[in-house]
Amino acid sequence: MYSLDTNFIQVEIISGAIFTFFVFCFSLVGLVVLWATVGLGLLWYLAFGSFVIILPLLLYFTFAWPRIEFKHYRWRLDDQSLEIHRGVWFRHRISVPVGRVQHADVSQGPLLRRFDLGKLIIHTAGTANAQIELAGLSHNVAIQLRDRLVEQTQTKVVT
Amino acid sequence: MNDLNNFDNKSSDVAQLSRLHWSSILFDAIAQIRGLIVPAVLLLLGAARGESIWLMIGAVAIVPTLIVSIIRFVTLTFQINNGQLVVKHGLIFRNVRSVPVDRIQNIDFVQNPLHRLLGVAEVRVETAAGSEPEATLRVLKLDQVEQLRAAIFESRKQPLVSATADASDFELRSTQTDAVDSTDGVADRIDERPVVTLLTIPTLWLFYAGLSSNRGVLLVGVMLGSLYEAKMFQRINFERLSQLFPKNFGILATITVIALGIVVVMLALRALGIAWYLLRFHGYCLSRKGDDLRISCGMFTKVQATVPRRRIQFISVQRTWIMRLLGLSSVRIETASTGGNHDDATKSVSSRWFIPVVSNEQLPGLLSQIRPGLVWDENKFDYQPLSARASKRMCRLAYLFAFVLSAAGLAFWRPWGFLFGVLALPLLLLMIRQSVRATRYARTSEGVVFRSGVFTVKTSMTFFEKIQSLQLDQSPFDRRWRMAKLSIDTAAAGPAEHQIHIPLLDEAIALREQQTIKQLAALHQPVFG
Repeated sequence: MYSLDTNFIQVEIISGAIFTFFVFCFSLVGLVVLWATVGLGLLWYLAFGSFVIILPLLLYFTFAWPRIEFKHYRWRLDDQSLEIHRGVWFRHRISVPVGRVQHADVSQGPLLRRFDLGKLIIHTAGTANAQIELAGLSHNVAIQLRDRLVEQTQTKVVT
Repeated sequence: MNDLNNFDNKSSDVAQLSRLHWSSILFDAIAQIRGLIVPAVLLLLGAARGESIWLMIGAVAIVPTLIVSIIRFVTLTFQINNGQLVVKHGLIFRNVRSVPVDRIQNIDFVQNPLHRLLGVAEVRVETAAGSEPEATLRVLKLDQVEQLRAAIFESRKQPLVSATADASDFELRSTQTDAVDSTDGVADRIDERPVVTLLTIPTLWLFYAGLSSNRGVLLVGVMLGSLYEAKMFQRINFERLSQLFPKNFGILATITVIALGIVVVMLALRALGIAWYLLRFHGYCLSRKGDDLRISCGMFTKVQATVPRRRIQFISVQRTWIMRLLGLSSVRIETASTGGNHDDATKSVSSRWFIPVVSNEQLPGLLSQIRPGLVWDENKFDYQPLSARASKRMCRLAYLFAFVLSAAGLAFWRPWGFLFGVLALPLLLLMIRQSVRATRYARTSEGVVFRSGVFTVKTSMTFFEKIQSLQLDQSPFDRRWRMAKLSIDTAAAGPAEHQIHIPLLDEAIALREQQTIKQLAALHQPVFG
């Protein structure tokens, strides 16, 4: 089984940090507004308390979680199927047998492009797993994988 | 009935430009305002009370609808040209849709009483792509329907049926005894494939099916829902209603009245279910022509649906407890084109109630027609149970639940509140035991069978070439117990209301099954036709 590209961790940390930063700013503004309008009452202490509890959680999920997530993310393609293992608390193992990939896309946002990563999106004819994402591959690998998947489908399908 | 089953065509003016029937304006307008039926009724009620303002609002609202419908009628043309069905419509924005005839999978049509009065039908053309019908022609005259159908089937170059299926045709005719009204001799003029009647359902069976279904409950639920939305309940004066009951009723009398009331309601619900089944499936006929299965049925609203056999992804045999007593089953199927959540007539007949009721003896023969060569011997499948510890795990949950229930009960009603939990516990334990025991799966040479359910037993099968992906899930609790859930995903899963999610498997076994099924799925490649 292969891991994702290690750059995945950085991308996750950066996007998480942006989110955390915004939440932090909004909370501060909220606390100040609350203080200015209602004053230092019970409500303010409740709000402050939840802020104090939520902040470390946010920091944990921003800076520590990507590494843990990375550790549990694995994939493999052989001549039988594409396998994806992911999930830390809730573990999932998805297998897509050969010939079931309808089409596959590689997409790249600005952040992913900067780190030369790509997100592979695999479409099957299924229902629950109609779309399977494999984020955080290096762009090259994502494109190779896409080409192999499509090729496999084309050679295997009887027309 | 006969007008629907009349397949033979007279002309096939293929390239001719055709138009909808004039009554399309009416039906299109009806379809547009169908969602507004409750407000419309309220409007009429308002108008009836002499508030003519409501009538004016109604009139103003209906004008744009009518204009849209008229434009659609005037501009819509369709024709079959170079193997393409081309539908054009639109005044300002011209829409042109061409559907390759080879790709057309289903041509379904619906006729409600109003349609029949005018001799027209609504036609839906479906391809493999996507959830919506590729083209809906609302409405065509019946001979136009026949022309279209003939043209489409003529343009299809080769019948998609294999040699083995034809052989099984022959077998069927020599062995089948229950098939009524077999149209053996009549070879169709469109192609050589004969129409074989597979099943007709006696009215008595429909009666049983209605009796054993809880369709009535659903119908009443839908009705109450729309009444609630229309704020009808607010108009009921409950105080005046309560004055209707006698004041000095003893406890015993009250209980008797309530019990009687419940019985009456239950009977009424069942009767409603029976009526629904009798109306919907009146004159049910399942037939096969080459690779296409055809269902036609309905007393007032007639439906004819076509299901290409090779597109069946999933077969589910379901039996409520009354059906099991009577030795009957119902069959639901899923085809790749059953997407969308419309509960419209053709869809519900062609997937949800594919075969509303059939005897257990006829079932294996019928299923081997629905999927050529399918061996359906339910009691000889190599069923595997869930984990041996599954009951234990679920029972622990039950103990916890009973404890919480007791604690909550005690908080509200001292000292007897704890009895809630104590009384609920045995019931819970029994349910868990039964449902764990009822849940099992099997691998056959063709696919995976999954059975579950205590009251309504559902036995479903999908086939290796139809499996799109497999997923193994483990929650933190699963990992603690070293268990896992295995799910098998197929196209357009859902309408059969039974999906293959096998919970509470031993981890090692689940992993092994996933590997094995995955390998078998890789060996059996899907065939697109």
